Amino acid sequence: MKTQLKLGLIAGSILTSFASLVPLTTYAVTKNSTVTVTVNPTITLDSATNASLTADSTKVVTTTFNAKVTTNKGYTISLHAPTSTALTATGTSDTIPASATPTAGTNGWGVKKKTSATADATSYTAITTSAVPFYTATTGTAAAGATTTFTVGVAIAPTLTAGSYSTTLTVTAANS
Amino acid sequence: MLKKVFLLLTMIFGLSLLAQPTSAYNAEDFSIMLYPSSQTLALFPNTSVDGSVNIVNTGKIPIDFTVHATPFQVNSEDYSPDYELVNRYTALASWVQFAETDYHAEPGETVEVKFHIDVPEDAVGGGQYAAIMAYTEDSADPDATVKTASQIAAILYGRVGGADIKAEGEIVEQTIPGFLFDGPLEITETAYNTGNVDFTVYHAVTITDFFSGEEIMNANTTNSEGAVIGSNNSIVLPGTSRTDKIIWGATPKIGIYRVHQKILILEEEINTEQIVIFCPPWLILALAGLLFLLILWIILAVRHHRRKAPQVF
Repeated sequence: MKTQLKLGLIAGSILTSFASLVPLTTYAVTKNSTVTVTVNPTITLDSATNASLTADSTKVVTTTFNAKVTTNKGYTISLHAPTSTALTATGTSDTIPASATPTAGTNGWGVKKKTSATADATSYTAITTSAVPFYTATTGTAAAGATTTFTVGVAIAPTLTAGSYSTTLTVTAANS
Repeated sequence: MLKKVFLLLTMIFGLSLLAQPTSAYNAEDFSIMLYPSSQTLALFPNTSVDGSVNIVNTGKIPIDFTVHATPFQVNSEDYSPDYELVNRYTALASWVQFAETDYHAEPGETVEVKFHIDVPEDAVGGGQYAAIMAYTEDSADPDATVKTASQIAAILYGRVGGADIKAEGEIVEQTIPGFLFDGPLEITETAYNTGNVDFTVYHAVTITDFFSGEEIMNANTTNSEGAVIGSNNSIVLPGTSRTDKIIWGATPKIGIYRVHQKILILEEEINTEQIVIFCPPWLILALAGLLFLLILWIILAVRHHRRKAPQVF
């Protein structure tokens, strides 16, 4: 009995030893997964700062306003005044009409188109009731966005009635 | 004691009124984002499509905005947008309906603007184009001479399926200058859409140094702002031609480069290779001067040789 037990133990030990010699092999299953990231075209318009100035009949007074766009594609900034292209004031029928040639001593105002991100056209463009592109960028902007500065020129006649003349200009940003 | 308290309260209240800031417009507070800023819609006659665009108030003030649809076309090769031109490709603007047109967005809030399109039974196969405009006057300074209202557009590229749909186009011009006095190097292609539905043209440029083989620019090259400048995808609307330009701005004064232009239009691939030489005017003048001197020297040398040759009587 003792002998059988001994034999059993020895056999078991031998079997266990052989088992421990058998290399354990793990099989890793590898599968490829496709990760798809959809990047939407986006466009952001902010800080469309407004233009203010005090006109002078002896010269064309200029001021600026900014439109900051952030986008991952080329874009266009268009301007138009759907309600009134002229600067108007309450209490008077006098107006400062939109003009491509604002001239000192004559009522008129205009905005210069951009020829590049930092350069203006030499002449003004009269604002219309239809959206007209004033700046086109062929690539997207930096993550912080790109600010485009537009120059407004206003000229008045010395006979213009005193008052606060204004209009609302719509700044439209769209990918191109 | 009571009088003193009352006086103190009055002083505090009065100072508060004096110190109360008047509501001031701050341009930095306004910001509005839209996505997707363009999308393609598959349309079929006598069917409906529902879609949406998202408006995000990325500013610091609440905004009220309205939405409406306009036609979308382009004016010329510079692809300036036209939101008023009505033609056979802009009926989509009249098909777009909004359940709501007036919205409010708190700072940080995203508003989903849903739209519905009913395609008429008699809609002709081909392209249809419109813009969804989100408009707000909350960016306008009430005290300004020129108050700026803000509007951002989402362009809809609709394609009405049917037997009439025709995607056709061709490259009508390619420009790779072979000789330049100075940079930048501008490489262009002009595509003309002769069909009735839009398509996208892929334009890419690879520039390598002729002698060293070093790659200067490829399709994935970006500028300092991270924008890809070595390749472009341009959408060309039916009946229009569009020029795409790839610019290498930081060109050397002197050098020879190999330029490879790749254009993918519809199912056609066009590959063009051109050697480009950069040579400033002063170098050309110097070389011309040297050549002139060489020719002069040769002439004089020949004459001198003839004078020295013995005369035979």
